[in-house]
Amino acid sequence: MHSSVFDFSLSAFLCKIGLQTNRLCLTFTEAHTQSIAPNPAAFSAGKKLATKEQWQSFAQNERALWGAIKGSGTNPYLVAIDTQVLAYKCTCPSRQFPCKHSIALMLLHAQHAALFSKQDEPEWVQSWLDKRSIKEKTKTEEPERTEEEQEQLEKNREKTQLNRLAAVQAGADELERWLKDLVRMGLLDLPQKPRSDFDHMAARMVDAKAPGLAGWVRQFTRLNFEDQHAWQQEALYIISRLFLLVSAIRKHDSLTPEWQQTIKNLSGWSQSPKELLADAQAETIKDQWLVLGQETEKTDDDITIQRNWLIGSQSNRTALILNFGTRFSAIENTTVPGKVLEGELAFFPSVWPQRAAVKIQRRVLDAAESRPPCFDDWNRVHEHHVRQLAVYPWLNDPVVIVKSIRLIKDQNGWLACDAHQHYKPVVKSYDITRIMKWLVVSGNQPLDMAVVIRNQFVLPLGVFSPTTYTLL
Amino acid sequence: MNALIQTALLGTEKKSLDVQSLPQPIQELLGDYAREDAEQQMLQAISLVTFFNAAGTMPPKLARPADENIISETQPVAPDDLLQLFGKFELVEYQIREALVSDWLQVLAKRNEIVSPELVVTLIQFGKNMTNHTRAQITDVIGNKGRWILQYDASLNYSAVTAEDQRWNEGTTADRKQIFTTWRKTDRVKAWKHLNEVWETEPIASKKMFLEIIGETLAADDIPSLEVLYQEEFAYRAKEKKTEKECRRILASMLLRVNTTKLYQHTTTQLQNYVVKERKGLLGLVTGKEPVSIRLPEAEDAFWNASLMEQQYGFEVKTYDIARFNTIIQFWMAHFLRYLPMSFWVQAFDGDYHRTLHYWLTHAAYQIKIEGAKVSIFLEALVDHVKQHQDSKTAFALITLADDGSRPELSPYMTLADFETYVSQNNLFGYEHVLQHGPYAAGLSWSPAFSEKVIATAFESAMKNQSSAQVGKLIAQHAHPASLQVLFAYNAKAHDTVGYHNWNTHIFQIAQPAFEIRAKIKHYTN
Repeated sequence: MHSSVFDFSLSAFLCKIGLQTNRLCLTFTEAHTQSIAPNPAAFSAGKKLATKEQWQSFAQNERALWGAIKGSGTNPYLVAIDTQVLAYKCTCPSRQFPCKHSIALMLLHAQHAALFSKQDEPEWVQSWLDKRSIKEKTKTEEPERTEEEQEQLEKNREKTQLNRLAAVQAGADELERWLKDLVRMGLLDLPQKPRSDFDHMAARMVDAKAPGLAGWVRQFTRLNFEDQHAWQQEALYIISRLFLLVSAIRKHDSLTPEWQQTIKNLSGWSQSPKELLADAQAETIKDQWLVLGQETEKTDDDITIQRNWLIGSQSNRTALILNFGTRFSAIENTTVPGKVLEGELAFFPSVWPQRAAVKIQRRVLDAAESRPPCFDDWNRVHEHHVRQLAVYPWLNDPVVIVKSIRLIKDQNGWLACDAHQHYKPVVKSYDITRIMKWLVVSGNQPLDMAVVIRNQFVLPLGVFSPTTYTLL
Repeated sequence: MNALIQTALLGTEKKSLDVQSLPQPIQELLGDYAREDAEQQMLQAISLVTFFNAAGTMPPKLARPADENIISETQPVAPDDLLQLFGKFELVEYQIREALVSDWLQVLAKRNEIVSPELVVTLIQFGKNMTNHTRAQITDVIGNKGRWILQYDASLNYSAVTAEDQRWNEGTTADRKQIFTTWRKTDRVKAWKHLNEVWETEPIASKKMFLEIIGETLAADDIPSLEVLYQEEFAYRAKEKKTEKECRRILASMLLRVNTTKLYQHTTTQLQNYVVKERKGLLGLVTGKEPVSIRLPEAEDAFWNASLMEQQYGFEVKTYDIARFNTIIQFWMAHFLRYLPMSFWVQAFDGDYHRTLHYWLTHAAYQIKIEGAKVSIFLEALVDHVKQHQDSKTAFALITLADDGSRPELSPYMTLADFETYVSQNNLFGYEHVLQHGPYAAGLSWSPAFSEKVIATAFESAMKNQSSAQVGKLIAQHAHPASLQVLFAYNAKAHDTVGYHNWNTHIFQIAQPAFEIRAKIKHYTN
């Protein structure tokens, strides 16, 4: 942590005295800027302002881009982008983040990088960057407490945890009875069952403070009964994982602390990135993390979930960074798909740690110094997957890179086929535009592909062609 | 495994689980739970079997070898600066967007360059709902890979471009009309070839439609085929359909437009008989020219008679607009004014163009009163004449008669120089209905001086809060690329004025992106 701040200040200092002449760390493209924009309207508005004539001034150095643009007020808006860790500042009153002016400045840079003269950063940019580095240093520090206060806090926490665990275990008992009823009556009744039956059971699980279990129950409502073979297999799959989880919850007290934490996570205990980042014991890994892909999903509760899959180019560890947004709070996006985040990730404790949070972000790069390794074919992926399942049966959406994959059109959809003609079907909802992008990038040449394994399907994220990573 | 699924579907109440049918390892694991109840055992069996299957099911293999044909590019990728223009198109008003895209695609095609791989899919999607012409242009610049991927998504609607012949044979009437019109504009030989192949089997309504399209794009090499149709298939028959007669009229109208046809020569010879040159009067003494008039008979004669008009020209002989024409002969005369080239009439008036037009528009015998104003009964025929013959001289003459811009439909037929003169002389720079009908078909832009004047007028209107977005669009489409700096200069001037919002919203924001794109396209075409 301290070394990062030191490096950061040193870099700025060297820049100032002219000893460091690194080019700008990050190059923006229109596609990257689009992925950062909070919504299409903001991107479109930014695009309208991305002409040099509309800017009163703009410049750059190794740390930032900045500019001044005429707005509706008397004074121009001052816009700055921290290009090392990707952060934005604008004096406009917009609540969107980044605002259209920040987007416009990035787009202007994407189109006319040569027009950005290299200058010393003005005072307002420098003070903002310096403030950010101080904030970065202090943001994970816990407030100081007396021993008594600390003891009381821990007691309260423990009591809350015990109460909640009791409620969840009661919920698990009820859910097991419900599952037993389901298998006693038979699954043939499932297509006729009203959705309210499942919603009711899910609500009961929420009441039992186990929203994770509620989510598992709701999966029954998403079964596609049109496809007879598929829904039966899928229903058995949901039951198997749910039953296993219910059994584990009931045996909570006899499990190792790591398993206890894992089971709690699956049951719906919320995981606080803030607490994780403050936890000195949390597992952390420094690496150049390639952001392999991103997926955004809107839940029935109007919550936007953004999943970012990363892989460490040195460690070969995969990580999942989740961001959440609501109608009132937009997702603050600092992971840019296709870019490399150099820094330290902290992993939430689990028997199979995947979910992570950015602990230290040193800079964002266009490419990593080395490429993460990949699996030779689907059989190797399968072996790996089975080993993972043996450790963690609820394995969900693991990400892998597989060698020489070609997408092939089949009568039932698209297949991701390896060099030995083994294949995994691509998820049905996969946008044809992304398939077409693969076709254009590859010209039917097999390419190493990053995919998320989702049940028996795969979700292609991007390809290496041959060394640069291209998002699909 | 089937036993497990059967029990799961029917329920343990109806069918108990046959553990012996499960794989041995699962039987052994389930043995540990023998004391549990049937539902508990079933749930355990489901869990074990699901994971057992997941672990043991290897990825399937393709039944047939995959297509391993590698697609590569043979054309160079266009420079970044040119490709970056694509990102600006969505900032342009959608009504004018496609024309700009088409210009940009044309530049790429002329340079024999393709778009970069990152742009291919976006461009294909972008053109999805554009015209066949634009989509055909897109297929030219997306390279081999782009054309290869089109086959994978029928919803992209590009099959229409690639299978034009198929659409010609099997498409709807609207499809065929559109394809034939395109062929007529791009490859008349192909148009005739396809039309000849199907002509015999076409219904009469379609034949009429194709003849009308030919009429819109008539060229000298069409005449031999048209004369054959006129003399044979659509020659007068006592019992004929109304549409057949209309086809004869369309054919006659085309043949009358070309002075080498027999019909032209026969008709003009007949009409010469009605050209009367009087003894020199006062006017003649001043001008040295004899007064000329066209004496139309009061009653039918050997030429002006219903049977000849119907049989030779396919003209209507029973009904006509009696509010406009005193006699049916005047009505037929309007047709000849419509179809014959102006040069024939000018010749009759001793080669004096203005005298000719003046005669038709002001001669007392051919005037009627409409809403209190005297109007020539042949005015509409002359307007039609302009359209049929693309007669820019007559267009200019007619439009200057209406100095308030009330004949905007004639503007597209003028030359750009005449159009600018007309607008300048009548100070119509702020009249959007006049500006929007200019002669822009060939993608012409206004002269720099004219562009500057339009921008200046738009600025003045904006300062009075009177501007409209339509003017912004017109500047975007037609202002001379060299005037972009003028637009920026007025934009700078507009800052901190009360009219800034109006200027920015209606003019600058609309005009600037398209204007800038056009300026850059111009740079690449020079």
